[in-house]
Amino acid sequence: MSEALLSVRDLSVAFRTRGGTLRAVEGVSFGVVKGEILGIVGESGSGKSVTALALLGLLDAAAHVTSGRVVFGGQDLLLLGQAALNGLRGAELSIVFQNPRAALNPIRAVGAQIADVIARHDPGPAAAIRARMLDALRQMRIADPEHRAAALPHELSGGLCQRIGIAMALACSPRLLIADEPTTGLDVTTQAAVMDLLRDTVRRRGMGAVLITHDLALASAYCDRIVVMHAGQVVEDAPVASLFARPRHPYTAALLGGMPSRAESIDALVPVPGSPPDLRRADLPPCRFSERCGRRQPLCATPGLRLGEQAPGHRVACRLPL
Amino acid sequence: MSLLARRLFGVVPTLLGVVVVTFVLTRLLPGDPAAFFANSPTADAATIAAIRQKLGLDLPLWQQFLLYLGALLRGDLGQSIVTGQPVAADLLRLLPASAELTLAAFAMAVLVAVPLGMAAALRRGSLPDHLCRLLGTAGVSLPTFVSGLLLIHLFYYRFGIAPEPIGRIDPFAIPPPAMTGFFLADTLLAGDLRGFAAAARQIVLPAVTMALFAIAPLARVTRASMLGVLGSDFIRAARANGLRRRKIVLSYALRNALLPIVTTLGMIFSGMLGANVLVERVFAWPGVGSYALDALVGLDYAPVQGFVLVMAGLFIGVNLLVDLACAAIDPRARLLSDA
Repeated sequence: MSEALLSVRDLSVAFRTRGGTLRAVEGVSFGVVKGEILGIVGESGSGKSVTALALLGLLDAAAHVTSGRVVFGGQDLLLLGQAALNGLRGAELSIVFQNPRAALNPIRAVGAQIADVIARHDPGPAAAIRARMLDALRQMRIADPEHRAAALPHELSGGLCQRIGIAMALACSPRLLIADEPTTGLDVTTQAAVMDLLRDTVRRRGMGAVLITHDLALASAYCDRIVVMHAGQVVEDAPVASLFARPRHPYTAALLGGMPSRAESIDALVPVPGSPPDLRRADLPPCRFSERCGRRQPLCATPGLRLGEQAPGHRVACRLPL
Repeated sequence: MSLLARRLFGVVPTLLGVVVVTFVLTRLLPGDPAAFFANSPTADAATIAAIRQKLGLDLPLWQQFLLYLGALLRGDLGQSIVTGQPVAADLLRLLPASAELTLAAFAMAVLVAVPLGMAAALRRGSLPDHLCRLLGTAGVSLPTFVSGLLLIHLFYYRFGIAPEPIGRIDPFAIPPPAMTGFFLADTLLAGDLRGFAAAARQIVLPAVTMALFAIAPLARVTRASMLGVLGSDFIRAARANGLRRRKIVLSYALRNALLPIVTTLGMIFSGMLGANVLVERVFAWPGVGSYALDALVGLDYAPVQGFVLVMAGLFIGVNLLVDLACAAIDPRARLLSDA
């Protein structure tokens, strides 16, 4: 096994809301090794993005990490001070957000925004920073970078904005890139182009990457391993081939049954039955899928559910795996 | 600079409209200026008619208007009946006092309200946030003549810290040699520090009174605008890229939040021009506001029309500045280059 880049252990995040404490992420564990692209897949509200924001210390004021360790580069990010963490963000670990245009300052030239990030982490003479900025654009295969650098976000297409966003995230050669739904809102062709570029860059630089998406097909095409999340819990963590060949968790199986590419016809598409539980409930069961699960047994209500290895590298959090 | 040209061109019909409206409005006022001007219970109809003829008030309204317009084009704003001086000369003499007061109050308001609104947005529920809300409520609910009198009562009458509210300087003091017409600037230019201190002491209370009225909307807009921008995706992205807080707040957030702030600045400046009339009266400030109020009470048409015209010109000028500032802040508009 190659070198571990990121290791998340037992991460829990709670939000204070009017309706009580919302336990958005509960006991999440996963790891990323060098050169690997890990997919985190789940419905909206499954805690994927909250997990990513928690890693980077970007949660908003209503949220707090209640437990866990996030080891990156030999240090626990959750114990780092704001200043130290801020020094790492954008330099050692970067994130690309969904909705690329909104993630750019609307009244600053995109090139200047990339230059801001380079100047922050790697100060130097303006000419050198500009050269690096143009190089970052070129690496994202942006034609005519000198001209594009002077453009404002609203003058560029969505795909181009996302490439700018990725160029910005990669400008300081981070070791880990988190991409949170990077292709939402892009058309299918642009989506493939952006994802290809992302994958190639990660492979070439020997970085690690986390791709957060609700799109199983996208994850299966670009990831090495997939972590499936449901209602704030990791239910399954497996290599892509193993997961698709034999999903062990009833939720994953249901998700795969709902994938358009697998269905013979539109009538054969089966949605996952029920909906995730309200995460503000005080009586959430140990397995948060159990109330939607057709295989539920009294055993499922006993506490102490953990991810267990069912096959090499294939772990599942289910008392009665498939 | 096509925007500038277009905007300047658009000023012409606005000014013309102002001229017409003020002319008609002053003629609609109750009372007969000729009778008022005769100012004697023994004045008979013939005397009044003679005065009316002398003032040109016997002519048909449209003729009066054309005469007025012709005079305006020559830069002649007419003659004040009360002071006996040309209105243009009166206004020029009094304008620096008003301008100094307004600018001092404006600067005070901006220096207090913008940082306060920013601090309130950056730390919600903190002391600045509560202060912002308190000032907002107080500023909205206290009219300037009430807050002015209240300040005089407290700081002059009760505590005796502030000087007597009798204008720009002590009536027995010699005004500084006029260069800018602003006593604060003129005393400094003359190297007269004691004079500067005296002028500053006089201007504090009226300026604070006017500033209070402006701080409320400005701080509220700054806070709301900053909150909106701070919650946007690109600020989160800037944080995710490790940019320093200072850079994020001042360069990324504030510049984006500036558009509504600048627009509000224009509005409160215009509002201050109006508030001037009351504040000058309360503090016996010898500015154009007091002058216009006296003229209005004395049915003296020409100064009122001149005052309204000057104010309208300032309004238009301020709005023009606001437009240009917005164009400079927001490159998306591409207003300064030809698009």
